[in-house]
Amino acid sequence: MNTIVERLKNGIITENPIFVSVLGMCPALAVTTSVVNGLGMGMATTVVLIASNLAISLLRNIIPSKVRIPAFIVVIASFVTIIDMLLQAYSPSLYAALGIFIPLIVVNCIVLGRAEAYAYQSGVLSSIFDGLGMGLGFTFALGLVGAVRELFGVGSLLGFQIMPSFYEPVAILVLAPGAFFVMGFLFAIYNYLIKRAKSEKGDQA
Amino acid sequence: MRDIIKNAMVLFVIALISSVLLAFSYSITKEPIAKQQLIRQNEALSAVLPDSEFTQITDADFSKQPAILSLFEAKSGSDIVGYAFKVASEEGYSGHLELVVGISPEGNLTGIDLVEQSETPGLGAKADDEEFKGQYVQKPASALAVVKSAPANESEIGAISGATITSRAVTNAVNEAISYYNENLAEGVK
Repeated sequence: MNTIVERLKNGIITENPIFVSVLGMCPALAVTTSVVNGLGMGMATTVVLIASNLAISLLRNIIPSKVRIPAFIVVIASFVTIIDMLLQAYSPSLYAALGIFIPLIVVNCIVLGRAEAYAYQSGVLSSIFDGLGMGLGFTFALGLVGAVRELFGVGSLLGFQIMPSFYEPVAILVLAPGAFFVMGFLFAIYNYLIKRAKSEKGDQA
Repeated sequence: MRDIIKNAMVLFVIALISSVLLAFSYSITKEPIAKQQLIRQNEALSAVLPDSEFTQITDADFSKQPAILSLFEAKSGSDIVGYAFKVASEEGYSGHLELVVGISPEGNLTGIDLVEQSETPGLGAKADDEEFKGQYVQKPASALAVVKSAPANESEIGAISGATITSRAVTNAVNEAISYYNENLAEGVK
């Protein structure tokens, strides 16, 4: 139970894949033009993370260290492709919503990163929750970036107009440079808050 | 040497099992996927020409407009209410695009609907949003041009901000449908 909570907290806060480890930046910058897109990408990635961590953890004693990277890549790419086909065949509405994100997951560093840094050396249960924790952390980060970019760059959240009509949207925020601006600010705020929380804990110790 | 062989064998087995699983998934999902694509196509046809019955025209010659995949005649009762073209483009930002274009017998576009696309969410994928698609409704059936500013006249389509390539790919495909219509189906041509 402890490991489960620890893995979840690690993935969401302590080692948040975006704000702390700076992994998976490609989809994070490209896809966070709205809350819906950010959350969608995050959720699809979470499913792949859990499945791939599970598979790699199960195979960790069989895969020799020297060929582990190609082995990981074959496993991950196969999973993503199978999930893509199953969604397309059996869940048209979900596929219409998430389908475009799925091929993008293959190039997401987080999946390969967690396989290498954790699942290859850890048991099945903790690997599953590591995948879930990292996935949730990724989804949270993407949702947040998407929210900022959508709110100030378009004026809406989840498609609903929030900003008053006289608000002139800062359109650059939904384009590539805007992604960098928003990320930069959020990185600074996030790490400042973590640092402050740590030093407060240190004072109380 | 033994190490190299062992490593190669493990990789081989992993690749083999993955391939088997992939081939298996492909074979069991092939039919359901084809069914879903047909449903999607019919939805798109109804979106551009509602309340009609579609019959495919099978003896059409698309050699001058290779983007056209298929042509349907839309009828309501015994009246022809329009023609629906299924067109494809490989010029999308991420490659393959498929869309349906409806043209009325009076020579106006009734609309477009995207059937297949893998464009970037938030950018090219907005080609499937009403804001972009709606521009084509009621446009006269003559060649359309994509402009980056607001469209100034009836033959201009405003590009999606940051997704000019997608906008152009869609419009070029639509233009091929328009070209075929003007050469073969417009009033006074037959």
